[in-house]
Amino acid sequence: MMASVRRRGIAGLAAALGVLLLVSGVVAAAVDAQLRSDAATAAVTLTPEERRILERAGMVESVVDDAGFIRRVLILQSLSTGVEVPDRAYQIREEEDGNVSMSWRGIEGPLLGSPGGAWQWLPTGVLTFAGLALIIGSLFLAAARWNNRHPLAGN
Amino acid sequence: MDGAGFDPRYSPEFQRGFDPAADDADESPVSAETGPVERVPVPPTVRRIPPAPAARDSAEAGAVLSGPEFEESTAGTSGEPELPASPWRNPYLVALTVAGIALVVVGIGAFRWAVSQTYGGQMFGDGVSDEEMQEAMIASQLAWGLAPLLTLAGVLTLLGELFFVAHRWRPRRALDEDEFESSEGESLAGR
Repeated sequence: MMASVRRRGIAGLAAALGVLLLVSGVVAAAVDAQLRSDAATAAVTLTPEERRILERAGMVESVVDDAGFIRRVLILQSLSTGVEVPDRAYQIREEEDGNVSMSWRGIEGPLLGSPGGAWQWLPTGVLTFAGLALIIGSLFLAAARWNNRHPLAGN
Repeated sequence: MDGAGFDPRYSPEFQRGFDPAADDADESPVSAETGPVERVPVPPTVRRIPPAPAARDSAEAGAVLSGPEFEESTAGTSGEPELPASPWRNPYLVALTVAGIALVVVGIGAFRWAVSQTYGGQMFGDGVSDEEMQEAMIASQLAWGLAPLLTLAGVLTLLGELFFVAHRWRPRRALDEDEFESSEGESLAGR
């Protein structure tokens, strides 16, 4: 009797802990995604100095139009390489002769699995996976116990 | 007990306190006083008969398995041996199956959606507000990061379930033998 209560308590505790870890993992992943998105947005936002240089060259409109695309690429590269989004995406230089040159650089990180990077196991995913494992494990425990309660379990 | 302290049902040679010298001097006073020893009932030797499930319902079964063992083993049944419940009647196992399949399907679908969102640029299309774009960006990152884990968890769940069912699976013949042995033990215990 006590052993049954104890086993049930352990399975229930594991399931509750799994749900807690799962929710915490999803929340942590959402916060991580928000922070990455904010970092990418900040990386493509022109500083006053950059804006002044580009305005002089008449390139502000095109850069702002491309900002969304560059931000998306930064996020994608961060996800696929596991490297943080850089502080600045643009490199704007004003030459001595008055010409303006601009480039943007992506993330230089480890190329795992494929030349363009691959899926990375994010740290926040560990919590989610651990929660799922606990919930599924408690279900397996309940399945084994249900079989023991069956009248024909002794066969 | 007789006068020498021996149990008359058994030979004194095999009882505690037996003295061979005294026994030679005084030949068999015990047997003379106690008279014939009653025969101790010994349970009959049970010969184990291999089950014949296919022939159990037929008329030949009575010829192969005769006697009280066979009658008791089939008593209380309608002739068909009762088999354990299918593992798929286990509600937790059904829930695990549904969860495993759902995890695999949702994981693959979510990852495909995330790839189409990020590579296809649907979240940056015309008429998309900044809020919608921000939400889509976070959702696509969540799907990108978590969907493969969901798929992995689903595959591992289904594999674990396969091992679970394989561990619980027993051949039909072994089940019949177990039933026969249990009924055999019950018939012996009832005597």
